[in-house]
Formats: sequence, C-alpha cells, structure tokens
Amino acid sequence: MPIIEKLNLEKKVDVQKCNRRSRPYYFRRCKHKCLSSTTSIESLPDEIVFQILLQLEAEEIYESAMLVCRRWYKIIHTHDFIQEHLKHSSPGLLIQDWTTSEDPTFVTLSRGGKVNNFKFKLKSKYRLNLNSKYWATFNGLALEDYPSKGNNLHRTVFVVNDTTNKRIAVPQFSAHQHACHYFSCLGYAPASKEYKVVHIHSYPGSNNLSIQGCAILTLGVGKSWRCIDTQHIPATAVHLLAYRPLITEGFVHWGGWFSTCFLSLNLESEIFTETPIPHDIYVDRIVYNYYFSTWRSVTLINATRRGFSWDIWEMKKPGEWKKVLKIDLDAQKCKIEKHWGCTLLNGLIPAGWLNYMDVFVLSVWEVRDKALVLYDVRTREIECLDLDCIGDLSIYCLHRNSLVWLDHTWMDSASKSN
Amino acid sequence: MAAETGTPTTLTLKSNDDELFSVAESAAILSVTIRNMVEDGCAGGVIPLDNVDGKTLASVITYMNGISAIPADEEKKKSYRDKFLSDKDFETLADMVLAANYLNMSCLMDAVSAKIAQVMEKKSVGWVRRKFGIENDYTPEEEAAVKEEHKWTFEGVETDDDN
Repeated sequence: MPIIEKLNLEKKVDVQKCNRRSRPYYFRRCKHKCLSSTTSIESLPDEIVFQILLQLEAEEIYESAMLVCRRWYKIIHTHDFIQEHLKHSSPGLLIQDWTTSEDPTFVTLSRGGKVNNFKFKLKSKYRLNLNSKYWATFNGLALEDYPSKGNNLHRTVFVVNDTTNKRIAVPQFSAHQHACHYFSCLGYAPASKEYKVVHIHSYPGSNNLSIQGCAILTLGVGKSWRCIDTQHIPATAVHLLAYRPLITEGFVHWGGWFSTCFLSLNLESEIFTETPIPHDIYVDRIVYNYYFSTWRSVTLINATRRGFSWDIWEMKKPGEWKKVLKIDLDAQKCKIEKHWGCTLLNGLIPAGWLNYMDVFVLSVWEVRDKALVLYDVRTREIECLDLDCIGDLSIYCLHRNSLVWLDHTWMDSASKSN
Repeated sequence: MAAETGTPTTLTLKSNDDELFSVAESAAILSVTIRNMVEDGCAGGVIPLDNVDGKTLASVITYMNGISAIPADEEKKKSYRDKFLSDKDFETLADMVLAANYLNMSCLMDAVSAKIAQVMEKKSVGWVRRKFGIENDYTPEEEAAVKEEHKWTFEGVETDDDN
C-alpha cells in the first residue's frame, strides 16, 4: 500500500538521524536491517497509536503526550479518543478533610490492564482554595462551590477539570431571599448527553414550614435554572434532600442513615422517585445504612457499629434493591490489628468503592486519620494502606481523571454574554 | 470447520517471509482473524499471514500456546503476559502490536500497547521524542499555543456584583 511505503521512507530518515545522535540501541541495531522492514512508533498506523496513547493516564496525556508532535495532538483531540479514554479510566476515591484546605488524596487502582492488582497511586495535586470543596464529580468533571463574598446565601459554582486545567463559572442561581443552601451537584444524562447541575435549597413557606427546593441547569443550554416540583415527594422522603447527594450515571440520589426511604432524581426526565429500603433491613440507633455510588449503581451497606461483616445491596435503577454480596472480615481482623498495632474495638467504617465494585474501601476507626483497608471482592484478600494524613473529618468522593470538557460552542456564547 | 475427532486439529500458518508454523487450532483461534478463517472453512491448507514476518509470528505463537495452556484465571494470564513481554525490546513490541492488530487479538493488543505506553510514563516530552525517534513538527508558535492550553483557563467567570 502506498501509505506504508511512504511511512517506511520517513522511518529510514529517522533511523539515520537517530544514529547520528547515537540513539537507543534498537535504532542502532536497525541500521543493519534498514532495507528490510523496521518498525518504529512513527510507522505505526493512527489506530495503533490511538490504542497506545489510551493506556496513559489523563495527566500524562495532557502534560506530555499532547506536546510530542502534531499527529499525537490530533489523535488525542478527537471525541472518540476522549470517550474511549474515559472508559479506560478507573474510578477511585478522592479523600478530603472538611476542616482544612489541604489537598485531597486520590486513591485509585493502577492502570496496567484489566486485572486489578492493588498497586495504588496516591495523588494530591488538587489545588483547592479555602472554603471550596469538590462535592461531587462525574466523568472527570467536578463542581467547586464557594460562598460569594459578603453573602453566604449566594454561591459561586464552577465546573472544573483539574487534569486539563479548565474551569467555567456556572450561571448563578437566584434563590429565595431567605433560602438556605444545601448542596449543588453535577450529574450526567447519558441519552441526551447533557451535563446538569442540580441545586438543592430550602426556603420558608406558609406557617413557617420550610420547603425543599430543587433547581436544575443544563450546561450548554442557556443560563436559566428550572425549578423542579418537590411538592409530590412524600414527607418521609423529602427531608433527605438536605443530605449530601450521590451521583450515578443518569441519576442523583439521596439517602439517610436511619431513613427507611431512598430518593432518586432521574436526570433525563427530571422526575423524583422514592424507593423503600428492603424490608429485611433493620434500622435503629446502632444499625444504620451507608450509601455509596459506583457510577453505575448505588450500593446500600447495612452496618452495625463494631461489626466486621456487611450485606451489600445494589440498586441499578430506582425501584429495586438486590442483595449482591456479603463481606466478612472477621477472620482478617488480626492482620489489620497487627498492621497498625492497635486493638479494633470499634470496627471498620465503610468508605466507598474503587473501580466500580472491584474493591471495597473501609476506614479504621482507631487510626482513621491515616489508614484504609481495601478488600478485593474477587480474591477476598485485604490490603492495609497507609496514607499521609486524611484528616479526622474526611469525606470520600468518587472521582476519575479524564480529558472530558464541555461543548465549546456553549462556552463561547456563555463567556460572550458575560 | 474442525473435524470432531479425538486428536487436536493443527493449523499451518505461513509468514510473509515464507516460514511455516504448526499450531494447535485451539491456541490459534485466540486470533479472531484466524478463527473467522477456520469458521469459514478456509483453514484447510496453509493459512497465509501476509502482514506478519516469521520472527514476529514465532513470538506470537509462543504467546498463543502459553496463554491457552492457562485455565480461566485472569490473574495467572496477566502474570504470564507480563513475563512474556518483559524481555522484549521496543522494535519487537512495535512489530507485535502490528501483528496483534492484524490478527485481531485484543488481549495481546492491550498488553503490548500498555507495555509501550509504560515506557512513556513520567517522562519529559523531549525524552519521549528521542526515545521513539519522533521529530518535533510543531512550529515554535504552535508549540507555544499547545503549552498555553495547559494554563488554567477561567471562562465565563462572573463577579460577585452580578445578579
């Protein structure tokens, strides 16, 4: 094929160049074989370079690969590459301390192939200003939320991609004069391919009863917020809106430790649905429910304080919980106690998942500022992980690094209209 | 199609430099390209593989035999792949990624791509260019523009005075 011939020609030029500069051994060896076919990365077709670049972490691509040559830049800047790379990116946990402005720690599984092998990469490159927090992230995009200067009711919210150093302000939501802000979060509606910011607040209604409000802004479609009706949500569920939301693909969810109900907002239809928690789950002051997102589903973990075993329930779509897993770490208690030289009186605290439901993460109450236990669901092995310091009051946020950014045409019009 | 006899079927593969290789069908069908040929009944005589040379094909067959001998245990397969690729130089890896692509062997493709990508990890742009013999074809202006993309961009930032 003519293309191959052309590439071979180019390659010979490279080999000569490399020899002059006394380049790595494989080029030197090439000299003798020049006339036969010699393969260099330059001679590989685009689709193979695509596959190779896909294996790099998002920040490697952004900080190095993109600058190598025009061809690589072009391959990286395609919709297909960005989406395919996102699929390869393993969700990990971003751990940040509520009380300080220190960088969060990122715990994730290493890239190296489909099998997960407990090589953890800890990063702390997130530049956070005081008072700003990542509440929820999706597809590598996160929300940063600041109280506006001099007015705590007004929030300035940014969508950021920390890997590609992009940040854009979200149009402000004009809340009721006496509104109280709860949480803003970012979700994704896969069918319409839209990112949406959901803002939860409460405001005083008649008889001084407070009303929970929900407003949605579709990123990329104008600057106006839509108010979503919350009046139909039963009283047993509406109070859940004050909790920190969970994000899965296509949904935002709210659950409470002691609540018998779970609330989901479909980001496609923008309708709320309540799902009762399973009948055989018993909740009281010492037995309560943790909820974690895996991106693809929500998991419910019913835990007793001082317990070492948990039933894991999964909800893929609102309406149905299914028991999927039982984890029992009683037999491995000694290993954990030995590792940190402590006696586990208070049990382990569920903290979330790595790479969907591959690894269950728990924090250790006795050494909770610097220790995690990681349970590989497949091999049933545990790993004790020491962290620098994650703080006493840490929150765990599901995150993955990506090259995703918002539609350019909208950003142009948004910045012009400012 | 493979005859359903007690003895395992053997296929003969021919490289583009006319070397012949015998390989068990059960191992060879890791390649979707070969599997399709077998299913279409075109694997009776010699299977010519026009895009793979003898040296690379020998290596790929070693891999096919090695990996198919391992029962369904992803952990063991992964460690076999790691060991298999550990002593390969870059030129061999590049030949192998081309062969894996041509033969449509996704597990080898992913492993070799990852191995090549590993070389680039935590390396400077200059180092990657030198290592792979890639010429910098950016003009200085273009290079500056790409670097500019790295800086924090603040878009559509509203001031506190806005409504």
